[in-house]
Amino acid sequence: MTTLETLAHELRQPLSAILSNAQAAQRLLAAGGRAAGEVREILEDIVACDKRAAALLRHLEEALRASTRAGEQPESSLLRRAQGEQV
Amino acid sequence: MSLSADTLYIVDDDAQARAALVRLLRAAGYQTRAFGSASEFLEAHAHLERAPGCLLLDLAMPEMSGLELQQALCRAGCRRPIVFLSGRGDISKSVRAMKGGAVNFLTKPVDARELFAAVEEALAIDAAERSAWVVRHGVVERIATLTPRERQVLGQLVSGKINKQIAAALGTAEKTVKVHRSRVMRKMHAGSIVELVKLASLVGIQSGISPLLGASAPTAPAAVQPSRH
Repeated sequence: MTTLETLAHELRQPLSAILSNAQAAQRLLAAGGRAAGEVREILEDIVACDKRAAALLRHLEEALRASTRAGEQPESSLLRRAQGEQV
Repeated sequence: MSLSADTLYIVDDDAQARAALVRLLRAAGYQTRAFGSASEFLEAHAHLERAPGCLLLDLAMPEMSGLELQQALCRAGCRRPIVFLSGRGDISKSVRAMKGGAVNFLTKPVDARELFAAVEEALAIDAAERSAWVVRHGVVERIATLTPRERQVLGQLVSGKINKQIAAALGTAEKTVKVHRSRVMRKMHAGSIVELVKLASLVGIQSGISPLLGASAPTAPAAVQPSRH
């Protein structure tokens, strides 16, 4: 995989987790009962996943800015930072 | 949803993605077991092979990838259905996965409805495989009750020989062959030669000779060929 493909994959993980978490919460709420505790955990994870995805995008922007300044390839430093964001 | 004893085995190295999948599938009533790596799964699965269920496998994992895990299971003779989860742009890998027997190949982020449909399909395949195994096992057990002579007669019958030919091949009287033949039919629980051939083919007896499966009557192959070609 190229660095950009790896980055795309890294971005898919939190997005995937956000979607599955949200759809799990919808089901739990639709079923009623004592879902509040689990829904709270789900919402915490959604927030964390969103921040993780946002951090990936921030790194991408920084790397792109740096590369246009220096005329360099941003990919390797970008990848290091992106993978550092993994839980 | 599924209220059976089926278990969904989830293998994903990403803790957040894994937890979210588990929550979603549990909220839908599925039983799940999650693993953070292929090796972790393989270790646990050695004791679980008989348990019904399917595998939800992340394609890109460090150390051992989803495809490598699929190959390892295949080598071990495990036919548990696999649903792959992956990022886009993995067309060549998806082809490899499907050729390796994967049930489906879903792109992350995956929608719940799409995920449940793939899971249901995989569980149905798993159930069918398991009941087919039970049937095959039954045939093997019936064959085990046959005497060596009866097994020889079975082989001859399955390859489309008539009594007279069997008697000649085994160097015995036609009358004796008839006796063996009725015992074979009774012990194999076969009502007809067609049924006997089907049972035998389930366990690979004479499976190399495909025309015999088309020869529904116990006719000599020489008599069958002109009408088929």
